[in-house]
Amino acid sequence: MPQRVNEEERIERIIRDLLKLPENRRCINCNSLGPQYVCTTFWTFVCTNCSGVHREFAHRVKSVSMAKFSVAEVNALQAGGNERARQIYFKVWDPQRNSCPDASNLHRIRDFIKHVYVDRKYTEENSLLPMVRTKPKCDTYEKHSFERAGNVGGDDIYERQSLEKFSPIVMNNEKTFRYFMEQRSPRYNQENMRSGSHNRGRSSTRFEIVDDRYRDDGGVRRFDRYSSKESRTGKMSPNSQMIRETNSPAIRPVKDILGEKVLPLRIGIVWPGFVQMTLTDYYFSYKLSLVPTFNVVFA
Amino acid sequence: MGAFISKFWFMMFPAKEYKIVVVGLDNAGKTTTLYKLHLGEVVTTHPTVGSNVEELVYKNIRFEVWDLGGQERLRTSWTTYYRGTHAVIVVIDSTDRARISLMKDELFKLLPHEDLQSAVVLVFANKKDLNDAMTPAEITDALSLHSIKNHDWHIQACSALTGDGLYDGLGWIAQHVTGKAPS
Repeated sequence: MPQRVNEEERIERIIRDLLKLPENRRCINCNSLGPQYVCTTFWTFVCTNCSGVHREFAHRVKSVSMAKFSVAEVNALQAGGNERARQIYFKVWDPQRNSCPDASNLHRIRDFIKHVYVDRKYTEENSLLPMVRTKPKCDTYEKHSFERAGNVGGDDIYERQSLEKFSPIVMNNEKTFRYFMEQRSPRYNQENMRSGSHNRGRSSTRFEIVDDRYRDDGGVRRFDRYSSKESRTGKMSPNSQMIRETNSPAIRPVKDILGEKVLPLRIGIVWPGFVQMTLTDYYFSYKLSLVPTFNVVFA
Repeated sequence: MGAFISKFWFMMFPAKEYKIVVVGLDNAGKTTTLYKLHLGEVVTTHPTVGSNVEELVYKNIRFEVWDLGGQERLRTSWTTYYRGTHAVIVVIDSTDRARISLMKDELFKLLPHEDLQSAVVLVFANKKDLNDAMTPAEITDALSLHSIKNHDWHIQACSALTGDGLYDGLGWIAQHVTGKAPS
């Protein structure tokens, strides 16, 4: 009996430790802080709201505090976790085009979970069939767009995809990662950062502090802080702010990754034709009040 | 005057309320079942922490239905809800073949409880709308319901999403509790 108790304690401690990992500190779907449930279908950490929605799709959910986990489950969870699931289900997730749902918006969470886990829109296989978009849509998370790739250089995105395909670990390799960071346009910096942060040991403490704070305050202050603290991205593209906000578990400061010599991100120069579209998109999402007010962004 | 008539009416026909507890493993659909019966619609539920309680009226019988959380650590607290219970509803996830033996253990753990000696047992084989759902016969075997000697029991396939079978089950409870002396 005491042995069993010890075993249970050990398992619980492992799970608590897993929860402290930066990528598991937030719900994989809606990015809210402190997920308390494990979706045992995908081995992800999710918040209460998302756990409810997962159950609607017959995905199994267990509470961290109220359920008991078996050794096998803990092993699977250690092998899995949010970062692993991101590599699978968010493989071609484009943070510029798509945004995570808000924790309070159940309808969006439902659509989101359906698209990501049921339809698997962002796993690689599906995305290789390019989906062409004709006009900006309000629910930007819905489709992955290749249209924009043309603005940056159409070859790049395919090249990158084939690379990823042939060697899945390529993004974890620091050298290759840097190669991408330096060779590619700033847009890729944003994208790659989430893959790059797979390296758990390097997660910075600064990141965690920021995490804790912008949970509490409203969207307005959140944006203020970005524009003052972060590089120019914050001011120039509202969408890139969305990225920072929505994907923060995996995002580290650029300087952390590249050292001090990094060039400032010049978004306006790289995608001039694209900014207009971004704003249209953003305006639509603003109309649906999915994001904080418009004028704050330009303040 | 109205109050008097009302009083007289209730003196003649005492409005009896029967207590039902709903138990089952996590993800079985207990809360969905309760709110489908109560509101007639499917609500988005979160894993229950503690319990939900609602009053249902069916065939002029009032039921006080307690829906208890099904996760491991909450199961130990089920016993605290048993006092004065007339019926136990066991909700089974018909697709969950792996854990049905676990539910059997839980079921035979709760049946000998002294507060449940006069309770009837209704097993809802939930999620029958799903393809790989077990049939009620399979579930009867898996739970070895036939070995229950001291309780009336009944198994009812249902779907809490569509509402199929829920009222059939409740009807069975209504039949069997009204004949009994309230405890």
